[in-house]
Amino acid sequence: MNNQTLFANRRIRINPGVCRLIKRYLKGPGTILAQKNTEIAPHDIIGRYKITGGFSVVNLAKELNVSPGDVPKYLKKTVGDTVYKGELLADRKGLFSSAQIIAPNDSIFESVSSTTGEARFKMIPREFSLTSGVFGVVDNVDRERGEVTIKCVMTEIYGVVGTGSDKEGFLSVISGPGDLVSPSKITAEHRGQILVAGSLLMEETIKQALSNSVSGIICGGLNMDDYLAMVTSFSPSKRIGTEIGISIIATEGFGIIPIGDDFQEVLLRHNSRFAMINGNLGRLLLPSDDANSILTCRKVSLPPQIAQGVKPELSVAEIKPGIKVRLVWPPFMGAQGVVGSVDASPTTLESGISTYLLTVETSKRKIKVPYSNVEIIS
Amino acid sequence: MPHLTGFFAEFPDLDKIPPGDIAGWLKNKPESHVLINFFGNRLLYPQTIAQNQKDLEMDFAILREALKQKPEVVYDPKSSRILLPELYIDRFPPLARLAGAVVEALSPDGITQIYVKDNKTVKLAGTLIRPHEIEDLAKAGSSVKIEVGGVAGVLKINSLNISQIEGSGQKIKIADKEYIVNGGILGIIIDLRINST
Repeated sequence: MNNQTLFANRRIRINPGVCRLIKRYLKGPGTILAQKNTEIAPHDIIGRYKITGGFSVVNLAKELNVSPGDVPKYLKKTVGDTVYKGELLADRKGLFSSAQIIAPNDSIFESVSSTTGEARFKMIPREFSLTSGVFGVVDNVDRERGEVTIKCVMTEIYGVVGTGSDKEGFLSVISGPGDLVSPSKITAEHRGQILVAGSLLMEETIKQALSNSVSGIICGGLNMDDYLAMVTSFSPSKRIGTEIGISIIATEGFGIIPIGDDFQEVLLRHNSRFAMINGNLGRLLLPSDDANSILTCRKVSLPPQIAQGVKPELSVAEIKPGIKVRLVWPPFMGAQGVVGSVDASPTTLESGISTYLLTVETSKRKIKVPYSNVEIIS
Repeated sequence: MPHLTGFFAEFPDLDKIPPGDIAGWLKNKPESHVLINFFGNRLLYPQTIAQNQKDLEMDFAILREALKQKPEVVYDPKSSRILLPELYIDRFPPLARLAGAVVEALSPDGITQIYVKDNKTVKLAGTLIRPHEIEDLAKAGSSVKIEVGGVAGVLKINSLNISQIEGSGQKIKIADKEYIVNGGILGIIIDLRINST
């Protein structure tokens, strides 16, 4: 038995069943339908908004393979017409070649240039419904800002590093915790989703996710140079919130590190359900799918400082047999287990450092590890 | 909230060190991303320690660059003293290698006393001699005659040498110049490196 009292950092990674305030925003001009103090379910529509998608340009001369001045001859629509996605815009039939140009989206045919042959289309505004996504109680409505604050019960998950502002989407576990996700695994069907994507997120995979408008990614590790390219400074105190169009959280650290067993279990349980991610806070919010959680919301009063959620700080706790830990240094970095025993005397490691070792029992093996290379997670 | 930090937490601007500078100290250079990720994890988990020699070598490389960035952590140029806290000695063994790494990083000229410090005491561990005229010695030849405690020898220019000599008032002669210095558990370090910084 060890007479020495050994300490390690204690990290809170999962906050289950906590009551928090979340904000839902209209993404364009529109109307809030939610009423303060009413109870809502995930599919309830709390607002409607319109998105005007801007313009699209098609070079008809190039597509038809004709000179710009000849483009009007082949048009099937006239300037000012409303055109719908898939409709025929222009048609050229020739002896050796022909071309048909199809409208790329619902829009108004605004103009065609006789010098460049470019046709310009103004997209028709589309109306969208904002659903609540959660069981909860409407805490506040700000109609001017198009913002609804909802009190709801959720599980908070905190990774170690991340980037990106608030995003939302359905959680999709696309790989095992230790897998390496190739860029080709991310497709257009992941648009707007939050992906759980294995042990290392590579630069090419991030680019692929961005080009497919993925909302967020959870992974075990990131390459530090990719991370620095996204956040500009490592130090949290020097960082301001960064936004590259996607929110990313690494749950364990830098390099190839499987997502921890504790996270993977919770993420699998929430697969295909609505979630919210904030990479800058390293936080994923998983709202409760239990309708009865509304009762909890009714009972709980939230002090302002914890209402939005605050990233838990590290604390120090004593290492004792039976306590749950995660390894924070190779080999087996990211592995989790229970402390089986603490050595009674120090051991000199291959590095020459003399320290006390713990025996950590994971689901697969028993590992001897320096006490300073673990974090307490229970 | 208080939490365990460790050696690397003493250097808040560690993230500004270019990884190429760290790699410059390594004999067996790992792939760039391996080194950068190692460095990143040391910043994330500064309380962790090296389990094997490969990790320790990378830690020593980071230490050298960290000390170049913030020498005042161990070195006081006014009193010509290097003070090695126990935390460093435990984290970067053995003492001679740690002292060598500190000297390589800081390259103080002249005579510098090296002390080790634990919770209660500060002890003189040895002395570093780096002759001011090292450039001239290098021009004169590829080696230098020395005499330690009456025993003659030769040291190569561009080398860092440690003689485990205890006791005070040791007479050391390097080329024509004589020094009276104190030894200790570390001994006497003679730094004959040129272009060391």
